[in-house]
Amino acid sequence: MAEPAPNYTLDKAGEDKFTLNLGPQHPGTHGVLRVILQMDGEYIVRADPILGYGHRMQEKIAENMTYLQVMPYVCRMDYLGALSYNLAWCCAVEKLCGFEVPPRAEAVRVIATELNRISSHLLWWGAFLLDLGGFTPFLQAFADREMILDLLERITGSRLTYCYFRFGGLPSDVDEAWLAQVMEFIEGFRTRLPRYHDLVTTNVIYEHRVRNVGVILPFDAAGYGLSGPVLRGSGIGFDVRRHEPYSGYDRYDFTVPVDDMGDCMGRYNVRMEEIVQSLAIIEQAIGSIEEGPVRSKVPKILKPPEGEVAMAVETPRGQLVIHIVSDGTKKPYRVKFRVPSFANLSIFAKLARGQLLADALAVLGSMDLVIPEIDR
Amino acid sequence: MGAGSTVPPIIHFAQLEKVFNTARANSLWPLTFGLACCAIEMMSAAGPRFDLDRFGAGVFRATPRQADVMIVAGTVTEKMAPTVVRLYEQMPAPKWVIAMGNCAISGGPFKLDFNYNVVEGVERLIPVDVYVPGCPPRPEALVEAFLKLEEKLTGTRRFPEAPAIAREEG
Amino acid sequence: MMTGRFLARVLEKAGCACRELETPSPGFACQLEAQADEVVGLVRIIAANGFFLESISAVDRLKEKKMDGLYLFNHYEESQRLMIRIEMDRSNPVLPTISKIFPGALWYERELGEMFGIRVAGCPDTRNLLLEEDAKFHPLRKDFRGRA
Repeated sequence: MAEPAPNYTLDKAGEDKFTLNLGPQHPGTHGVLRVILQMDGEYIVRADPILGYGHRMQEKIAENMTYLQVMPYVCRMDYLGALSYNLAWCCAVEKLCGFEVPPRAEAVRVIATELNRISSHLLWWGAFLLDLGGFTPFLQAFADREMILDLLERITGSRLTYCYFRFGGLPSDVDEAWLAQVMEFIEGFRTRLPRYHDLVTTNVIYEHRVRNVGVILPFDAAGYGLSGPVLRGSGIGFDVRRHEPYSGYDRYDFTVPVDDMGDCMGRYNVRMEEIVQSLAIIEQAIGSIEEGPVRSKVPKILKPPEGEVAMAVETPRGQLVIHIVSDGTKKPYRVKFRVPSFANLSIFAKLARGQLLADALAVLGSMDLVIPEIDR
Repeated sequence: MGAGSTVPPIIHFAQLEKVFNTARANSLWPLTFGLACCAIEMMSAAGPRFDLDRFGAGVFRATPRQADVMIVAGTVTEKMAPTVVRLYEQMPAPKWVIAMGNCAISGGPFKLDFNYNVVEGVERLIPVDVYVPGCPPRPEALVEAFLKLEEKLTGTRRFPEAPAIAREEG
Repeated sequence: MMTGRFLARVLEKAGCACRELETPSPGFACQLEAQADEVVGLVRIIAANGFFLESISAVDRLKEKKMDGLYLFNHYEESQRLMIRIEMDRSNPVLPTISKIFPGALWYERELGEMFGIRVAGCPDTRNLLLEEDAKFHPLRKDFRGRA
């Protein structure tokens, strides 16, 4: 439940209890998160996350730049899933202005976004195992991730913070050679995926570290607004691509992976299965892509009509909602980014209570947070 | 030459210092200080393709007490600034700083007139030895930064510099 | 008009206490306007019908000297985005806390307090969330152009 603010100066934690500071610089690769822990030996009595070490004024910037100028900033909020943020911003503005996107552009957007999702999950896999103490999976994941980054670099020009989509479609077409390379990558990756399960999923030490650790019950989910694999690992199958389809996702046949256990292992299983489903979506998109234009006619200086719009998108972390209030000028009046990691982290204080410190770090890793997206 | 941004020693032993500097240049242990997007490129530089370990710099230490070089990778905010300075002061001399990415060099894309939270360049807080431009810089750029740092320490460069691509006139 | 059985149930129970917009904006199934003192009752009905809290934010309307508090809710079984808009006076914006119904609302209310200066009555934790602990300025207000 919502608790009053802790008073660190007067709060006498009691005998055998001490206050431990975790972060903002710590070897977990989530970014700059600080958690003040009150410990009883190895067990956590109270966890208090302190945010804001990466606050980069994104919402204020969005009010002072034109719609096109905001795009590079949006991609830097969640740098691992930058294409999904890019897609969300483009679709939001297209929804506001009523632009149509040609089907070929929609298919390429889906291919690029799903490749980005796979690369984000691979990095999460490596970093999660790094938090738990294993170094080999990190190298394995990065080797495969570099291949995806090569594919995306060929069409977007960047390795990390992509700013590829434009209002109305894509800036340039993709050629058949690239589509053939993506198919080749998918076939090769499918043969390498069992290696991931051999290395980690069936490992008895790993199982002891994550089974029954950080269990999130379904009735907590609505109170905190969870989404993404954190929610689907607890048995609720809510996926924006299924519930509010965008960019042609309703044309593809894929299952939304759900796991009932609610612990770190459940969230892990959901993400591994999502990688497999993303490969299937990319294959279907390439199989059904048709010739045609890749960008519809869009005015050079964009002045959307007055009003507001809400656009939801499924990023690798969960549900992103962009709410734009426009006053008819070329700069937005107010933009609100509802980021998935914000809600996912808010349940951490409740989960960490009574856990061992090492288990709390496993929980943080399994939630797949990107702190600059929380701090915006 | 080899003391980094700390006060150089009063007594110099010429030959011994050459040995020390070469040893230091070949085993620069970085501090994991990834703040934002550049952290991912720093991790990629330590990854299998752009291996930093072959230059002796692959042992990332989480604690500043055991680190030689601090790679400031990402945006430094006003809230984070005291932490950056504290970590720098906790590192034992000789120590060096690499400012990676546009945000660490000058505030990058966040250098705006209504800026209320971003420190415009980490050089306002701590002395910087090598600047790596890019948003984010490629991992090869970070490798080049380490080569430049080695050149600053020892005076010689491990690999020859890549020839500049000739500009076309007109 | 909105569809969806959960949303219909919510509006039936809420009665005519709040005004509903005829044509909701794209992305919303329903947009309600309410007063600050009606919020807690409305949110209790919404929570009882299984909606989850998407976000709490605000819009600063400098010209009309008003500030809008926006509550966004959605449902896990069918995607029905519901927005409640609370119009407040810009000189003294006050909202009641809903953190006793939705625990996740606490962080959103802390952010509203520091970014807009909106006082959330009854909020158990009013520390700054993203800015420094001793920061007293409100960045997302329209008349803020940088620290002095």
